[in-house]
Amino acid sequence: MAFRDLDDETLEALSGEVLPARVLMSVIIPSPVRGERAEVFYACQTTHYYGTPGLLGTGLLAQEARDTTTCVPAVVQTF
Amino acid sequence: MNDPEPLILPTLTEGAELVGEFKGSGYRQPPQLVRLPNRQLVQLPPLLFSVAKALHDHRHLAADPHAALAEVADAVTAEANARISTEQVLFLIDRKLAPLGVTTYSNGTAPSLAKADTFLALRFRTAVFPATATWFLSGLFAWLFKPAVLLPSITMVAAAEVWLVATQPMGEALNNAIRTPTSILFVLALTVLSCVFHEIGHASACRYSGVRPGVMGCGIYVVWPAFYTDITDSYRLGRGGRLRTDLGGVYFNGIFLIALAVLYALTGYDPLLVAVVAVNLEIIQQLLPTLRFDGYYIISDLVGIPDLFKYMRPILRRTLLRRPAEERLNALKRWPQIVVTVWVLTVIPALAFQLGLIAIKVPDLILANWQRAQNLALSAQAGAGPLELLAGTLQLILLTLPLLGLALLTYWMLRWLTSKIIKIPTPQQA
Repeated sequence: MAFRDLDDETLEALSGEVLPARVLMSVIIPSPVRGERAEVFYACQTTHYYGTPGLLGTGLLAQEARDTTTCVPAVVQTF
Repeated sequence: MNDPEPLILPTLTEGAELVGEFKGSGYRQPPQLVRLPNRQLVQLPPLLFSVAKALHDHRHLAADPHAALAEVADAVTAEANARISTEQVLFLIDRKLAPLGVTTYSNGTAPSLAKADTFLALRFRTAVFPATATWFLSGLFAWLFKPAVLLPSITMVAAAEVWLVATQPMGEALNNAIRTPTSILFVLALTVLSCVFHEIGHASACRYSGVRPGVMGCGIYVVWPAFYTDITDSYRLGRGGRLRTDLGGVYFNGIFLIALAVLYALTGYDPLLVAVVAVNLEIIQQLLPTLRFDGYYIISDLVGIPDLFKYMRPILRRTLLRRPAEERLNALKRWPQIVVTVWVLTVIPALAFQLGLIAIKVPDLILANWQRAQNLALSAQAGAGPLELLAGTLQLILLTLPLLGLALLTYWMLRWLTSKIIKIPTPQQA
C-alpha cells in the first residue's frame, strides 16, 4: 500500500500541551457583618443604609432605608 | 571532532500511562491523553500519541535501538496512513514528546516534567486529606448520585428553597443574627461546613463516575480562603461524567440546604435562615463562569475544551485586531468555537464591569473597615467577652480581604492581558 510522505512542516506544527490540574474549589462566604452604616458580606458585601427621618419629621429631604449587596466575582445590587 | 551521541531507545517516562482519547472533545481531531507520573495529564495530537504508543509497544527491542526505531516508524506509518522516517520519529520524540515529560530523550536523558500554565488558578494550597482519605470520604457519599436518590433529592432541594425563601422571614432573621456575635460565629461555622461538604460532593461524583479523586485541602484563592478537591483524573471521563463531577459540589450544597431546612423547621432558630442565604450565595457564585469556579468547568466540559483561558488571546486577536484565525482556533469544531468566542467576549467585559463596580465600593469598604476597627477597640476597652472579640476580629479580616483581592486581581489581570496581547515574555519564557 502506498502512503503519502509526512513533510517536516507538518511535524513541526504538531504540539501537545500539559492540561491544567482540575482543582475545583469553594471560597468561603462568611456571615454578614455590621459597621456603623454598613453590613458587609465577604464575596457578597451587603451595605444597609438606615435612611434619615427628614426635616422635623415631615419627610422632607428624607432618605429611604435601603440595602446594597455586592458579590465577588458577581455583583448583585438590590435597593 | 566529537563522536555523535549513542542512540538509546527512548521509552515512556517511568510511571506515565497512555490513557487514550479525550472523550467528548470540541476539537476537529480528538486529542489523546497521557498521564504523567505527577498526575498531570498531557493532551497530544493522534500522531504524537501513536509515536509514544509504538515506543511503548516496542520497548522489548531496546537492545537494538536502530531496529526498534525502524519498527516504531513502520507502526506509526500504518497507524497514520502516512509514511514517517526514523529521523522524523526521533525529531518528534526529542522536540515534542520529551519536553512535555512523556518520553525520555534519544540520548537516554530523563525529561523534566513540564507544568501547565494556569491563569487565575488556585496557586497557594496545601493538601489536608491525602487521596486515600478522599477515596474513603467519597465512598461514604457516592450513593447520593444513584438516579433513585438523585431525582427525589433535587425535588426536595427545590421544595426546601421555595419554602425557605418564599415563606420564611429572611430579612428579620438577618437583622436578628447580626446583633449577636455568637450567631455570626455559628453562621460562619455552617458556611465553612457547607464549603467542605461542597468539596466532598465533587469527590463523590468523581468516584461515582469511575475515576479516583485526588487530595482535598485548603488554600488561598487570590486572597480569599478556599477549600479544594483535585479531580484532575476526571479528564479521563466522558462528557457526562465530567459534568456530574462539576455539578456534584452544588448538588451537595442543595443537600446541605435540605438539612438546614429540616433543622429550622424543628427549632425555628433564626441564624439557620442566615446560613441558608449564605449557602445560596455560594451556589450562585459557584455557577458563575468567570473565574475558575464550577461554572467555568461546566462550560469547559460542555464544549470539550480543557483550558478556555488559552483561547482568550487568539479570539481577541481575531475579533478585535481582525487578524487571521490562529491554528489553535481552527483546530476547534464550529459550535465549540462559537461558544468559546461568546465566553471570551462576555467574560472579559463582565470581569472588568464587576471589578469596576467593586472599585466604586472601595471607599465604603475602607470606611466600614475603619469603623469596625474602632468598634473592636472600644469593645475591648469596655471588657467585651472573648466570643465578641473573636467575631469582631473575623469580621475585620473579612472586610479587608476584598480590598486586597481587588488590588491583586486587577494587577494580575492587567499583567496577563498585556503579556497575552502584546506578547511580552513572562519571566518563565524569558
